[in-house]
Amino acid sequence: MTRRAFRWLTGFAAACVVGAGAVALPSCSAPPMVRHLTADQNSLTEVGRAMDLSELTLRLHDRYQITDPARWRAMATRAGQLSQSAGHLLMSRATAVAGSTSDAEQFYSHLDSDTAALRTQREALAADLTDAIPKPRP
Amino acid sequence: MLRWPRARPRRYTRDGRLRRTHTMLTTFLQHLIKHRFFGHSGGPSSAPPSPQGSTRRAATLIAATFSVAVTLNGCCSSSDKKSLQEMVDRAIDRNFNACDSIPDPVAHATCITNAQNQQTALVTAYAAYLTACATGDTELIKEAIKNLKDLLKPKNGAVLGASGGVLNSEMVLGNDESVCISILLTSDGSRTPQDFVVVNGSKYLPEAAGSAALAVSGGNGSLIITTAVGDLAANSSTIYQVAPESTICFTASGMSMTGSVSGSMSFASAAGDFTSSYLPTDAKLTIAFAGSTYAMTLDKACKYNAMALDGNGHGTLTFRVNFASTGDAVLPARLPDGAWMVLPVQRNTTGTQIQASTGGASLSGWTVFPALPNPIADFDHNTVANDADLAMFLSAWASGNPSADVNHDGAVNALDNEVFMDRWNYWRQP
Repeated sequence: MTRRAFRWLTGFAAACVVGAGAVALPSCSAPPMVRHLTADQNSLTEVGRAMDLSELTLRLHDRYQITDPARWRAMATRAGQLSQSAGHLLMSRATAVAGSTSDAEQFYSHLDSDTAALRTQREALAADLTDAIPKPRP
Repeated sequence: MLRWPRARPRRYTRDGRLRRTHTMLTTFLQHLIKHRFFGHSGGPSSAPPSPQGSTRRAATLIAATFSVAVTLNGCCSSSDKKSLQEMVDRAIDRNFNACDSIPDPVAHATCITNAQNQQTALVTAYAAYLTACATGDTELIKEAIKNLKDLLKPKNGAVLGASGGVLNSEMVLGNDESVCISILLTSDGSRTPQDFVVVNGSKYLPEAAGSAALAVSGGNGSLIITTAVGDLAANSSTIYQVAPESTICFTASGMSMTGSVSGSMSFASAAGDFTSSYLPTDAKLTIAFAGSTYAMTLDKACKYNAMALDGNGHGTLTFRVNFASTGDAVLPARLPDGAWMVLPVQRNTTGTQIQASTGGASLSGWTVFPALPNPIADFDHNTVANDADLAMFLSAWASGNPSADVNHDGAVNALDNEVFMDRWNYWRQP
Protein backbone atom coordinates (compact mmCIF):
# COMPACT_ATOMS: atom_id res chain seq x y z
CA MET A 1 0.00 0.00 0.00
CA THR A 2 1.46 3.31 -1.00
CA ARG A 3 1.74 6.12 1.48
CA ARG A 4 -0.75 8.12 -0.55
CA ALA A 5 -3.29 5.34 -0.52
CA PHE A 6 -2.75 4.83 3.22
CA ARG A 7 -3.41 8.51 3.90
CA TRP A 8 -6.52 8.40 1.77
CA LEU A 9 -7.83 5.32 3.56
CA THR A 10 -7.07 6.83 6.95
CA GLY A 11 -9.05 9.94 6.01
CA PHE A 12 -11.90 7.81 4.74
CA ALA A 13 -11.93 5.79 7.96
CA ALA A 14 -11.98 8.96 10.05
CA ALA A 15 -14.84 10.31 7.99
CA CYS A 16 -16.73 7.05 8.52
CA VAL A 17 -16.23 7.25 12.27
CA VAL A 18 -17.47 10.84 12.37
CA GLY A 19 -20.42 9.95 10.15
CA ALA A 20 -21.34 6.93 12.24
CA GLY A 21 -21.10 9.05 15.35
CA ALA A 22 -23.38 11.64 13.87
CA VAL A 23 -25.93 8.94 13.09
CA ALA A 24 -25.62 7.22 16.45
CA LEU A 25 -25.44 10.35 18.64
CA PRO A 26 -29.10 11.35 18.54
CA SER A 27 -30.29 7.96 19.72
CA CYS A 28 -27.69 7.83 22.51
CA SER A 29 -28.32 11.36 23.77
CA ALA A 30 -32.03 11.58 23.07
CA PRO A 31 -33.69 13.41 25.96
CA PRO A 32 -36.22 11.54 28.11
CA MET A 33 -39.05 13.39 26.45
CA VAL A 34 -38.09 11.89 23.09
CA ARG A 35 -37.60 8.42 24.54
CA HIS A 36 -41.07 8.61 26.08
CA LEU A 37 -42.59 10.41 23.14
CA THR A 38 -45.76 8.36 22.98
CA ALA A 39 -46.53 8.75 26.67
CA ASP A 40 -45.69 12.43 26.44
CA GLN A 41 -47.99 13.02 23.50
CA ASN A 42 -50.76 10.99 25.10
CA SER A 43 -50.58 13.04 28.27
CA LEU A 44 -50.63 16.34 26.39
CA THR A 45 -53.57 15.17 24.33
CA GLU A 46 -55.37 14.16 27.52
CA VAL A 47 -54.63 17.52 29.11
CA GLY A 48 -56.07 19.22 26.04
CA ARG A 49 -59.21 17.10 26.20
CA ALA A 50 -59.60 17.70 29.93
CA MET A 51 -59.40 21.46 29.53
CA ASP A 52 -61.73 21.28 26.56
CA LEU A 53 -64.35 19.42 28.58
CA SER A 54 -63.88 21.72 31.56
CA GLU A 55 -64.66 24.77 29.44
CA LEU A 56 -67.54 23.02 27.72
CA THR A 57 -69.02 22.13 31.11
CA LEU A 58 -68.89 25.74 32.27
CA ARG A 59 -70.50 26.92 29.03
CA LEU A 60 -73.27 24.36 29.38
CA HIS A 61 -73.61 25.39 33.04
CA ASP A 62 -74.53 28.90 31.93
CA ARG A 63 -77.24 27.49 29.76
CA TYR A 64 -78.72 24.70 31.84
CA GLN A 65 -78.00 25.51 35.49
CA ILE A 66 -81.49 26.92 35.88
CA THR A 67 -82.92 23.42 35.30
CA ASP A 68 -81.15 21.87 38.29
CA PRO A 69 -78.90 24.35 40.15
CA ALA A 70 -77.52 21.86 42.68
CA ARG A 71 -76.56 19.30 40.07
CA TRP A 72 -74.95 21.88 37.79
CA ARG A 73 -73.12 23.46 40.68
CA ALA A 74 -71.52 20.10 41.41
CA MET A 75 -70.75 19.77 37.72
CA ALA A 76 -69.02 23.18 37.67
CA THR A 77 -66.99 22.19 40.73
CA ARG A 78 -65.86 19.03 38.99
CA ALA A 79 -65.00 21.03 35.88
CA GLY A 80 -62.74 23.16 38.07
CA GLN A 81 -61.17 20.07 39.62
CA LEU A 82 -60.57 18.57 36.17
CA SER A 83 -58.91 21.77 35.00
CA GLN A 84 -56.86 21.84 38.20
CA SER A 85 -55.65 18.25 37.67
CA ALA A 86 -54.70 19.01 34.07
CA GLY A 87 -52.86 22.15 35.17
CA HIS A 88 -50.89 20.25 37.81
CA LEU A 89 -49.90 17.62 35.26
CA LEU A 90 -48.67 20.33 32.90
CA MET A 91 -46.72 22.02 35.70
CA SER A 92 -45.08 18.75 36.73
CA ARG A 93 -44.17 17.98 33.15
CA ALA A 94 -42.68 21.42 32.59
CA THR A 95 -40.50 21.12 35.70
CA ALA A 96 -39.48 17.57 34.84
CA VAL A 97 -38.39 18.21 31.26
CA ALA A 98 -36.57 21.37 32.30
CA GLY A 99 -34.72 19.55 35.07
CA SER A 100 -32.23 16.74 35.23
CA THR A 101 -32.57 13.50 33.31
CA SER A 102 -33.34 11.62 36.52
CA ASP A 103 -36.14 14.07 37.38
CA ALA A 104 -37.59 13.60 33.92
CA GLU A 105 -37.29 9.81 34.12
CA GLN A 106 -39.05 9.84 37.47
CA PHE A 107 -41.86 11.93 36.00
CA TYR A 108 -42.20 9.67 32.97
CA SER A 109 -42.17 6.56 35.14
CA HIS A 110 -45.65 7.37 36.44
CA LEU A 111 -46.91 9.48 33.57
CA ASP A 112 -49.03 6.68 32.13
CA SER A 113 -50.90 6.21 35.39
CA ASP A 114 -51.31 9.98 35.83
CA THR A 115 -52.69 10.24 32.31
CA ALA A 116 -55.03 7.34 32.96
CA ALA A 117 -56.29 8.99 36.16
CA LEU A 118 -56.94 12.23 34.29
CA ARG A 119 -58.73 10.30 31.55
CA THR A 120 -60.93 8.54 34.12
CA GLN A 121 -61.78 11.86 35.74
CA ARG A 122 -62.64 13.37 32.34
CA GLU A 123 -64.70 10.44 31.17
CA ALA A 124 -66.70 10.38 34.41
CA LEU A 125 -67.50 14.07 34.05
CA ALA A 126 -68.32 13.62 30.36
CA ALA A 127 -70.74 10.80 31.19
CA ASP A 128 -72.52 12.84 33.86
CA LEU A 129 -72.55 15.85 31.57
CA THR A 130 -74.24 13.84 28.84
CA ASP A 131 -76.75 12.62 31.37
CA ALA A 132 -77.45 16.12 32.73
CA ILE A 133 -78.19 17.76 29.40
CA PRO A 134 -81.95 17.80 28.87
CA LYS A 135 -82.97 15.39 26.10
CA PRO A 136 -85.37 16.47 23.41
CA ARG A 137 -88.77 14.89 23.77
CA PRO A 138 -89.71 12.34 21.12
CA MET B 1 -35.87 28.30 49.02
CA LEU B 2 -36.07 30.57 46.02
CA ARG B 3 -32.71 31.91 45.02
CA TRP B 4 -31.58 34.07 42.19
CA PRO B 5 -30.03 32.03 39.40
CA ARG B 6 -26.29 31.95 39.63
CA ALA B 7 -24.64 33.94 36.86
CA ARG B 8 -21.55 31.85 36.44
CA PRO B 9 -21.99 28.12 36.56
CA ARG B 10 -22.12 27.53 32.85
CA ARG B 11 -18.99 29.49 32.12
CA TYR B 12 -16.66 28.23 34.82
CA THR B 13 -15.52 24.87 36.01
CA ARG B 14 -15.81 23.93 39.67
CA ASP B 15 -12.32 25.10 40.39
CA GLY B 16 -13.06 28.47 38.82
CA ARG B 17 -11.30 28.05 35.48
CA LEU B 18 -13.01 29.37 32.39
CA ARG B 19 -14.55 26.56 30.40
CA ARG B 20 -13.75 27.84 26.91
CA THR B 21 -15.21 25.16 24.70
CA HIS B 22 -18.35 24.97 26.73
CA THR B 23 -18.65 28.74 26.78
CA MET B 24 -18.39 28.97 23.01
CA LEU B 25 -20.85 26.16 22.52
CA THR B 26 -23.24 27.64 25.02
CA THR B 27 -23.02 31.06 23.43
CA PHE B 28 -23.73 29.56 20.04
CA LEU B 29 -26.71 27.62 21.36
CA GLN B 30 -27.99 30.69 23.18
CA HIS B 31 -27.73 32.61 19.94
CA LEU B 32 -29.73 29.96 18.13
CA ILE B 33 -32.40 29.92 20.82
CA LYS B 34 -32.50 33.68 21.08
CA HIS B 35 -33.16 33.98 17.39
CA ARG B 36 -35.68 31.14 17.50
CA PHE B 37 -33.82 28.79 15.22
CA PHE B 38 -35.06 26.07 17.55
CA GLY B 39 -38.48 27.64 17.93
CA HIS B 40 -38.26 27.45 21.72
CA SER B 41 -39.51 30.87 22.54
CA GLY B 42 -43.11 29.98 22.90
CA GLY B 43 -43.99 30.91 19.33
CA PRO B 44 -46.23 28.92 17.05
CA SER B 45 -43.37 26.89 15.71
CA SER B 46 -42.75 25.42 19.12
CA ALA B 47 -46.25 24.07 19.55
CA PRO B 48 -46.67 20.33 19.69
CA PRO B 49 -49.21 18.61 17.51
CA SER B 50 -52.45 20.09 18.73
CA PRO B 51 -54.58 17.61 20.64
CA GLN B 52 -57.72 16.88 18.76
CA GLY B 53 -60.54 19.09 19.94
CA SER B 54 -58.44 21.07 22.38
CA THR B 55 -59.37 24.64 23.12
CA ARG B 56 -57.21 27.68 22.60
CA ARG B 57 -56.48 27.74 26.35
CA ALA B 58 -55.21 24.19 26.31
CA ALA B 59 -53.19 24.77 23.16
CA THR B 60 -51.66 27.90 24.66
CA LEU B 61 -50.77 26.12 27.88
CA ILE B 62 -49.32 23.12 26.14
CA ALA B 63 -47.38 25.29 23.72
CA ALA B 64 -46.01 27.28 26.62
CA THR B 65 -44.86 24.24 28.54
CA PHE B 66 -43.65 22.41 25.44
CA SER B 67 -41.43 25.35 24.66
CA VAL B 68 -39.16 24.36 27.52
CA ALA B 69 -38.62 20.86 26.21
CA VAL B 70 -34.96 21.38 25.40
CA THR B 71 -32.92 22.98 28.12
CA LEU B 72 -29.36 23.81 28.82
CA ASN B 73 -28.62 22.40 32.23
CA GLY B 74 -27.24 24.61 34.95
CA CYS B 75 -29.07 27.88 34.25
CA CYS B 76 -31.43 27.72 37.20
CA SER B 77 -31.13 25.16 39.93
CA SER B 78 -33.60 22.32 40.19
CA SER B 79 -34.53 23.40 43.71
CA ASP B 80 -35.45 26.86 42.42
CA LYS B 81 -37.70 25.36 39.80
CA LYS B 82 -39.35 22.97 42.22
CA SER B 83 -39.82 25.72 44.79
CA LEU B 84 -41.51 27.93 42.21
CA GLN B 85 -43.60 25.05 40.96
CA GLU B 86 -44.87 24.42 44.50
CA MET B 87 -45.78 28.08 44.90
CA VAL B 88 -47.65 28.09 41.60
CA ASP B 89 -49.43 24.86 42.48
CA ARG B 90 -50.51 26.32 45.82
CA ALA B 91 -51.73 29.52 44.18
CA ILE B 92 -53.76 27.52 41.66
CA ASP B 93 -55.31 25.43 44.43
CA ARG B 94 -56.08 28.54 46.48
CA ASN B 95 -57.86 30.19 43.56
CA PHE B 96 -60.04 27.15 42.92
CA ASN B 97 -60.72 26.50 46.61
CA ALA B 98 -61.91 30.10 47.06
CA CYS B 99 -64.90 29.23 44.85
CA ASP B 100 -66.20 26.57 47.23
CA SER B 101 -67.87 29.04 49.58
CA ILE B 102 -69.84 30.91 46.91
CA PRO B 103 -73.51 29.84 47.06
CA ASP B 104 -74.80 31.58 43.97
CA PRO B 105 -74.45 29.12 41.05
CA VAL B 106 -73.65 31.75 38.43
CA ALA B 107 -71.10 33.48 40.62
CA HIS B 108 -69.64 30.10 41.52
CA ALA B 109 -69.13 29.21 37.86
CA THR B 110 -67.69 32.67 37.20
CA CYS B 111 -65.24 32.13 40.04
CA ILE B 112 -64.12 28.82 38.54
CA THR B 113 -63.68 30.47 35.15
CA ASN B 114 -61.59 33.17 36.81
CA ALA B 115 -59.53 30.50 38.57
CA GLN B 116 -58.96 28.83 35.20
CA ASN B 117 -57.81 32.14 33.73
CA GLN B 118 -55.45 32.64 36.65
CA GLN B 119 -54.19 29.09 36.16
CA THR B 120 -53.49 29.84 32.51
CA ALA B 121 -51.59 32.98 33.44
CA LEU B 122 -49.59 31.20 36.15
CA VAL B 123 -48.67 28.17 34.05
CA THR B 124 -47.72 30.37 31.13
CA ALA B 125 -45.57 32.60 33.36
CA TYR B 126 -43.91 29.54 34.88
CA ALA B 127 -43.20 28.14 31.42
CA ALA B 128 -41.73 31.51 30.45
CA TYR B 129 -39.42 31.28 33.47
CA LEU B 130 -38.27 27.80 32.46
CA THR B 131 -37.73 28.99 28.90
CA ALA B 132 -35.69 31.92 30.21
CA CYS B 133 -33.64 29.44 32.24
CA ALA B 134 -33.01 27.49 29.06
CA THR B 135 -31.69 30.56 27.28
CA GLY B 136 -29.43 31.47 30.18
CA ASP B 137 -30.18 35.15 29.67
CA THR B 138 -30.04 36.69 33.16
CA GLU B 139 -32.26 39.61 32.21
CA LEU B 140 -34.87 37.30 30.76
CA ILE B 141 -34.78 35.15 33.88
CA LYS B 142 -35.18 38.15 36.17
CA GLU B 143 -38.08 39.43 34.08
CA ALA B 144 -39.76 36.03 34.09
CA ILE B 145 -39.42 35.69 37.87
CA LYS B 146 -40.77 39.20 38.35
CA ASN B 147 -43.83 38.36 36.24
CA LEU B 148 -44.37 35.18 38.22
CA LYS B 149 -44.07 36.97 41.53
CA ASP B 150 -46.62 39.55 40.44
CA LEU B 151 -49.06 36.75 39.79
CA LEU B 152 -48.18 35.08 43.08
CA LYS B 153 -48.65 38.20 45.18
CA PRO B 154 -51.08 37.80 48.04
CA LYS B 155 -54.62 38.56 47.08
CA ASN B 156 -55.59 39.61 50.54
CA GLY B 157 -53.87 39.53 53.83
CA ALA B 158 -56.06 39.98 56.85
CA VAL B 159 -53.83 40.58 59.82
CA LEU B 160 -54.57 38.31 62.72
CA GLY B 161 -55.00 39.81 66.13
CA ALA B 162 -53.33 42.79 67.69
CA SER B 163 -52.49 43.88 71.17
CA GLY B 164 -53.45 47.50 71.21
CA GLY B 165 -53.24 50.01 68.44
CA VAL B 166 -55.34 50.10 65.34
CA LEU B 167 -56.02 46.83 63.64
CA ASN B 168 -55.56 47.08 59.97
CA SER B 169 -55.72 44.86 56.98
CA GLU B 170 -54.24 44.98 53.59
CA MET B 171 -56.27 44.03 50.59
CA VAL B 172 -54.09 43.64 47.54
CA LEU B 173 -55.69 42.99 44.21
CA GLY B 174 -53.83 41.41 41.32
CA ASN B 175 -52.59 43.24 38.24
CA ASP B 176 -55.69 42.38 36.25
CA GLU B 177 -58.12 43.14 39.06
CA SER B 178 -59.82 46.40 39.87
CA VAL B 179 -62.70 47.94 41.77
CA CYS B 180 -65.22 50.53 40.68
CA ILE B 181 -67.48 52.32 43.13
CA SER B 182 -70.36 54.70 42.64
CA ILE B 183 -72.15 55.58 45.85
CA LEU B 184 -74.42 58.63 46.03
CA LEU B 185 -75.24 59.86 49.52
CA THR B 186 -78.14 62.25 49.96
CA SER B 187 -79.25 64.10 53.08
CA ASP B 188 -82.50 65.74 54.04
CA GLY B 189 -80.55 67.90 56.46
CA SER B 190 -81.54 65.99 59.59
CA ARG B 191 -78.86 66.00 62.27
CA THR B 192 -78.24 63.97 65.38
CA PRO B 193 -76.36 64.95 68.54
CA GLN B 194 -72.94 63.34 68.71
CA ASP B 195 -70.56 62.96 71.66
CA PHE B 196 -66.87 63.56 70.97
CA VAL B 197 -63.62 63.39 72.84
CA VAL B 198 -61.26 66.17 71.83
CA VAL B 199 -57.58 65.22 71.97
CA ASN B 200 -55.23 68.15 71.42
CA GLY B 201 -57.88 70.04 69.48
CA SER B 202 -59.05 67.26 67.20
CA LYS B 203 -62.35 65.50 67.60
CA TYR B 204 -62.49 61.75 67.87
CA LEU B 205 -65.34 59.38 68.39
CA PRO B 206 -65.20 58.04 71.98
CA GLU B 207 -64.22 54.59 70.64
CA ALA B 208 -61.11 56.02 68.96
CA ALA B 209 -60.11 58.53 71.61
CA GLY B 210 -58.04 56.03 73.59
CA SER B 211 -55.70 55.19 70.75
CA ALA B 212 -55.48 58.86 69.74
CA ALA B 213 -54.46 59.80 73.27
CA LEU B 214 -51.96 56.95 73.38
CA ALA B 215 -50.42 58.12 70.11
CA VAL B 216 -50.02 61.65 71.42
CA SER B 217 -48.57 60.55 74.75
CA GLY B 218 -46.31 58.06 72.97
CA GLY B 219 -44.82 60.95 71.03
CA ASN B 220 -44.05 62.72 74.32
CA GLY B 221 -46.22 65.66 73.29
CA SER B 222 -48.44 67.58 75.64
CA LEU B 223 -51.80 65.90 76.02
CA ILE B 224 -54.97 67.91 76.38
CA ILE B 225 -58.21 65.95 76.52
CA THR B 226 -61.65 67.47 76.73
CA THR B 227 -65.09 66.13 75.98
CA ALA B 228 -67.73 67.55 73.72
CA VAL B 229 -71.01 66.19 74.90
CA GLY B 230 -73.73 65.74 72.31
CA ASP B 231 -75.42 68.99 71.53
CA LEU B 232 -77.50 69.52 68.43
CA ALA B 233 -76.29 73.07 68.03
CA ALA B 234 -72.56 72.52 68.54
CA ASN B 235 -71.81 68.84 68.04
CA SER B 236 -73.90 66.92 65.59
CA SER B 237 -73.58 64.66 62.62
CA THR B 238 -75.56 64.71 59.42
CA ILE B 239 -77.16 61.53 58.17
CA TYR B 240 -76.84 60.65 54.48
CA GLN B 241 -78.87 57.87 52.86
CA VAL B 242 -77.40 55.81 50.05
CA ALA B 243 -79.28 56.42 46.81
CA PRO B 244 -80.77 53.30 45.15
CA GLU B 245 -78.63 53.54 42.01
CA SER B 246 -75.41 53.10 43.98
CA THR B 247 -73.19 50.23 42.83
CA ILE B 248 -69.89 48.58 43.50
CA CYS B 249 -68.12 46.35 40.99
CA PHE B 250 -65.19 43.99 41.01
CA THR B 251 -63.28 43.09 37.84
CA ALA B 252 -60.91 40.16 37.52
CA SER B 253 -59.35 38.63 34.42
CA GLY B 254 -61.56 40.74 32.19
CA MET B 255 -64.76 39.61 33.88
CA SER B 256 -66.78 42.05 35.94
CA MET B 257 -69.32 41.50 38.71
CA THR B 258 -71.55 44.30 39.95
CA GLY B 259 -73.42 44.57 43.23
CA SER B 260 -75.85 47.11 44.65
CA VAL B 261 -75.31 49.20 47.78
CA SER B 262 -77.86 50.46 50.30
CA GLY B 263 -77.74 51.93 53.81
CA SER B 264 -76.58 55.17 55.36
CA MET B 265 -73.54 57.14 56.47
CA SER B 266 -73.11 60.04 58.88
CA PHE B 267 -70.51 62.80 59.01
CA ALA B 268 -69.63 65.53 61.50
CA SER B 269 -67.14 68.34 61.48
CA ALA B 270 -63.91 66.82 62.67
CA ALA B 271 -62.19 69.71 64.38
CA GLY B 272 -63.29 72.20 66.96
CA ASP B 273 -63.64 74.90 64.38
CA PHE B 274 -65.75 74.20 61.32
CA THR B 275 -63.26 73.55 58.54
CA SER B 276 -63.40 71.42 55.43
CA SER B 277 -62.32 68.38 57.42
CA TYR B 278 -65.06 66.00 58.46
CA LEU B 279 -65.32 62.88 60.53
CA PRO B 280 -67.32 59.85 59.46
CA THR B 281 -69.37 59.06 62.58
CA ASP B 282 -71.27 56.06 61.33
CA ALA B 283 -71.64 53.84 58.27
CA LYS B 284 -74.01 50.96 57.84
CA LEU B 285 -73.93 49.80 54.25
CA THR B 286 -75.33 46.61 52.78
CA ILE B 287 -73.76 45.22 49.62
CA ALA B 288 -75.82 42.76 47.60
CA PHE B 289 -73.33 40.78 45.57
CA ALA B 290 -73.60 37.53 43.67
CA GLY B 291 -76.79 36.40 45.34
CA SER B 292 -75.76 37.14 48.89
CA THR B 293 -75.50 40.18 51.14
CA TYR B 294 -72.58 41.60 53.08
CA ALA B 295 -72.46 44.35 55.69
CA MET B 296 -69.85 47.09 55.48
CA THR B 297 -69.76 49.08 58.71
CA LEU B 298 -67.54 51.86 59.95
CA ASP B 299 -64.80 50.89 62.39
CA LYS B 300 -65.39 53.67 64.87
CA ALA B 301 -62.28 52.77 66.84
CA CYS B 302 -60.02 53.81 63.98
CA LYS B 303 -58.57 57.23 64.69
CA TYR B 304 -57.61 57.81 61.07
CA ASN B 305 -61.17 58.01 59.73
CA ALA B 306 -61.62 61.31 57.92
CA MET B 307 -63.14 63.09 54.96
CA ALA B 308 -61.13 66.03 53.65
CA LEU B 309 -62.60 68.37 51.05
CA ASP B 310 -61.17 71.36 49.22
CA GLY B 311 -62.98 74.63 48.54
CA ASN B 312 -64.77 73.13 45.55
CA GLY B 313 -66.05 70.16 47.52
CA HIS B 314 -63.58 67.68 46.01
CA GLY B 315 -61.59 65.42 48.28
CA THR B 316 -61.12 61.97 49.71
CA LEU B 317 -62.98 59.81 52.19
CA THR B 318 -60.57 57.65 54.15
CA PHE B 319 -61.97 55.20 56.62
CA ARG B 320 -61.63 51.72 57.95
CA VAL B 321 -64.56 49.38 57.47
CA ASN B 322 -65.46 45.97 58.80
CA PHE B 323 -66.96 43.39 56.50
CA ALA B 324 -69.38 40.68 57.60
CA SER B 325 -71.66 38.32 55.80
CA THR B 326 -75.36 38.89 56.40
CA GLY B 327 -76.61 36.33 53.93
CA ASP B 328 -76.21 32.61 53.41
CA ALA B 329 -72.66 32.85 52.09
CA VAL B 330 -69.57 33.15 54.21
CA LEU B 331 -67.33 36.12 53.62
CA PRO B 332 -65.46 35.57 50.33
CA ALA B 333 -61.90 34.45 50.88
CA ARG B 334 -60.70 37.47 48.93
CA LEU B 335 -62.36 39.91 51.31
CA PRO B 336 -60.67 40.51 54.66
CA ASP B 337 -62.69 41.07 57.85
CA GLY B 338 -61.69 44.70 57.72
CA ALA B 339 -59.95 47.02 55.30
CA TRP B 340 -58.71 50.56 55.02
CA MET B 341 -60.39 52.33 52.12
CA VAL B 342 -59.64 55.57 50.32
CA LEU B 343 -62.38 56.83 48.02
CA PRO B 344 -62.52 60.00 45.92
CA VAL B 345 -65.57 62.07 46.93
CA GLN B 346 -67.33 65.21 45.83
CA ARG B 347 -69.86 67.24 47.82
CA ASN B 348 -72.42 69.48 46.13
CA THR B 349 -72.61 73.19 46.91
CA THR B 350 -75.51 72.86 49.32
CA GLY B 351 -73.87 69.99 51.18
CA THR B 352 -76.90 67.74 50.70
CA GLN B 353 -75.17 65.25 48.43
CA ILE B 354 -71.85 63.43 48.63
CA GLN B 355 -70.77 61.32 45.68
CA ALA B 356 -68.17 58.66 46.43
CA SER B 357 -67.23 57.51 42.98
CA THR B 358 -64.37 56.33 40.85
CA GLY B 359 -65.94 58.35 38.03
CA GLY B 360 -66.83 55.43 35.79
CA ALA B 361 -63.25 54.18 35.83
CA SER B 362 -61.93 51.19 37.69
CA LEU B 363 -59.33 51.72 40.37
CA SER B 364 -56.63 49.28 41.33
CA GLY B 365 -56.70 47.57 44.69
CA TRP B 366 -53.82 49.65 45.97
CA THR B 367 -55.74 52.85 45.23
CA VAL B 368 -58.94 51.82 46.95
CA PHE B 369 -57.45 49.67 49.69
CA PRO B 370 -54.11 51.16 50.72
CA ALA B 371 -53.09 50.36 54.25
CA LEU B 372 -52.29 52.86 56.97
CA PRO B 373 -50.21 51.97 58.79
CA ASN B 374 -49.33 49.04 56.58
CA PRO B 375 -50.09 45.90 58.60
CA ILE B 376 -47.21 43.96 57.05
CA ALA B 377 -44.64 46.67 57.70
CA ASP B 378 -46.13 47.30 61.15
CA PHE B 379 -45.27 43.75 62.16
CA ASP B 380 -45.71 44.29 65.91
CA HIS B 381 -49.02 46.12 65.41
CA ASN B 382 -48.14 49.17 67.46
CA THR B 383 -49.23 51.51 64.60
CA VAL B 384 -45.65 52.53 63.88
CA ALA B 385 -43.46 50.86 61.25
CA ASN B 386 -39.90 51.12 62.50
CA ASP B 387 -36.73 49.14 63.25
CA ALA B 388 -38.50 47.14 65.94
CA ASP B 389 -40.78 45.67 63.26
CA LEU B 390 -37.80 44.71 61.12
CA ALA B 391 -36.09 42.99 64.03
CA MET B 392 -39.23 41.15 65.06
CA PHE B 393 -39.97 40.01 61.51
CA LEU B 394 -36.43 38.80 60.82
CA SER B 395 -36.45 36.85 64.06
CA ALA B 396 -39.79 35.23 63.23
CA TRP B 397 -38.74 34.59 59.63
CA ALA B 398 -35.43 33.02 60.57
CA SER B 399 -37.13 30.63 62.96
CA GLY B 400 -39.86 29.78 60.44
CA ASN B 401 -42.57 31.14 62.73
CA PRO B 402 -45.97 31.09 60.97
CA SER B 403 -46.45 34.77 61.82
CA ALA B 404 -43.71 35.49 59.25
CA ASP B 405 -45.92 34.08 56.48
CA VAL B 406 -46.94 37.61 55.57
CA ASN B 407 -48.23 36.69 52.12
CA HIS B 408 -50.41 33.96 53.60
CA ASP B 409 -49.42 31.32 51.08
CA GLY B 410 -48.89 28.69 53.75
CA ALA B 411 -45.10 28.75 53.73
CA VAL B 412 -42.43 30.93 55.32
CA ASN B 413 -39.98 31.52 52.50
CA ALA B 414 -38.07 34.13 50.50
CA LEU B 415 -41.27 35.59 49.10
CA ASP B 416 -42.35 36.59 52.62
CA ASN B 417 -39.02 38.30 53.17
CA GLU B 418 -39.40 40.14 49.91
CA VAL B 419 -42.99 41.22 50.61
CA PHE B 420 -42.07 42.40 54.09
CA MET B 421 -39.01 44.34 52.95
CA ASP B 422 -40.99 45.91 50.14
CA ARG B 423 -43.67 47.19 52.55
CA TRP B 424 -41.26 48.06 55.34
CA ASN B 425 -38.94 50.08 53.11
CA TYR B 426 -41.91 52.07 51.88
CA TRP B 427 -43.71 52.58 55.17
CA ARG B 428 -40.99 52.72 57.81
CA GLN B 429 -40.85 55.82 59.94
CA PRO B 430 -37.68 57.44 61.27
